[in-house]
Amino acid sequence: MQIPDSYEFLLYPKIVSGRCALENLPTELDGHNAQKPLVITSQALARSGRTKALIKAFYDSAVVIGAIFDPVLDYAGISQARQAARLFGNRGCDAIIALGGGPVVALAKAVNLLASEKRETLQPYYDGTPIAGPLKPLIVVPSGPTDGQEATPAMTVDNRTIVSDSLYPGVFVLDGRMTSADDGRDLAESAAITLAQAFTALTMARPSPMVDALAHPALALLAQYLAPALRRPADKTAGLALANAAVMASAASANTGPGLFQVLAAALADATGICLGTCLGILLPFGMAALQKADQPVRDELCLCLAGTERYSAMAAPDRPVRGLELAAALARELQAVLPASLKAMRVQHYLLEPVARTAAEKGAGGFTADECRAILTRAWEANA
Amino acid sequence: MHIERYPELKPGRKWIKRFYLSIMLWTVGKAIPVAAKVDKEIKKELDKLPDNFTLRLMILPERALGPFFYAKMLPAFVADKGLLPYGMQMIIHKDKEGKLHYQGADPRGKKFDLSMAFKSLEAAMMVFTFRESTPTGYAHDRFVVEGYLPYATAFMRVLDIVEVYLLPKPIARLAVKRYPKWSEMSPLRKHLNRLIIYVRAFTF
Repeated sequence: MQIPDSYEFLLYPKIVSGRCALENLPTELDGHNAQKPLVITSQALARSGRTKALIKAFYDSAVVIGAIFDPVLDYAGISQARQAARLFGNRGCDAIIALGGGPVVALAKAVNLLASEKRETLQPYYDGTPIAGPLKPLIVVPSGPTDGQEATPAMTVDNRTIVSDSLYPGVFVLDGRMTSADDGRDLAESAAITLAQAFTALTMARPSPMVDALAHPALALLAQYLAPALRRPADKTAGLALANAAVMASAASANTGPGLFQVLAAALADATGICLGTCLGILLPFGMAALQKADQPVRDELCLCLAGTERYSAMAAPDRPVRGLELAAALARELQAVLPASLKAMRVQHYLLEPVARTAAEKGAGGFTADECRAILTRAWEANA
Repeated sequence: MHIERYPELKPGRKWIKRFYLSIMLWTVGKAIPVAAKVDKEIKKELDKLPDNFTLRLMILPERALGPFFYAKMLPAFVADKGLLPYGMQMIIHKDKEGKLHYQGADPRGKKFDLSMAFKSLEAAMMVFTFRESTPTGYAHDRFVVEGYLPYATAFMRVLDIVEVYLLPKPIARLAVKRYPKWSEMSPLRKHLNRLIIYVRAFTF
């Protein structure tokens, strides 16, 4: 292994994973000198009874739960953030626990910012004002679908994004009771985001050892557990493995930035209103097929993490990059069993492809061209690999 | 927004688990000083600890899992005899002559050289219901150790051997890292020592 000339990596957050991990919450709060957390969660998770499991984890502890704020749907907005920040202040809370993924974590980050900085609006931060000091402790208990931003320093509220290193959650608590999925589609969407993030991180032009350290296990976990999880979404072991992969891929992605697939899917999601996970699930197989056809050089590490040490060692060295891409494409095709097969099937109008390709190329800042984006979108629209 | 829609929640208590764990800690605590007298291996491990040394095994958080109400009513010299399960701690003291004493579950007025704590009640339940062996629990980060780490590992080895004596073989197999073979601990010696430990620990 060669040390790169230079690289930067912010190693965050702490991960507590496994059996009885949820019962470590009081200890983690105690480590942050906090005793009264505000729990933020979604209506769906409150209905599924997961908040009850969370409350039980605090039995026989000195912690009092300030409140369980559970009106979050599939969108994080400033009005809800303001309400939760007021609740945080009125109850004298000193930490935040986000139970869920995507909008729940984004809202928790926004509440943390408003409550810690004692503000009523996020406008100064949209305008570029830096976050002054350390925020209150934020613990994330992932559950349900992810948007890939949980373990990153970014939050999207009212479709506007703020990025700051202060927004990193302090701890991720991953427990099988919380991470098993209720339905296969949510799981496939989350897996598509994880696969795109880990694939991009591992195959980026300037590899760094720290990014590899996170992207490698994320892809290996996906390769091993995606199929069993899609067969049985309630499988706790597979759910826990995929949640671990999601956090690792998200943390790696936070240090690398988005690649072709993420930028293209984000532009498509903005233009059509389809969720990011579904867009990625449709685009990934065609995007990877395009990479295979283009004969782009890919690092051997992709093959190593997807095939495993034994199969990798048995392979001839020149075959490894090609085989790595084949395995990644096969992994992406597994998602098509649950997600729609083409953009046409999602009733995306063909005329939208051109502006989406142009927007993605602009956001990609020279990393890829509009023609490349257009080719992938056209194949994904027709379902023609 | 009506603030009352989101009430404050005070988590409850798991009384049965508390009671079970207090009995387990009491049993193990009473057995260790006696086992040190009858088993050479335990004695050898405990000889590594300095004299005038106090160690405790407890369950966090200490504030929520303090001594039982009757332990608080007793004077210290009675509570320190450890005649009954008094709470979620196990305190063992090695005196100046190198003798071990079980000192109950009341930490008041004591200074600890080694403090080992389970991070939560559920973590302790995993270990004391033998779903996880003691070394596995240690490896899974179920403990917090304050003190010199080699002493803590020595104590873990002592705990392993004591469990072999206290528990029947099918259960002890789940609780220890590796159950000793016949050549390492003869069945006769094991049963005889087990009898001595139970009789001496819980009679006088």
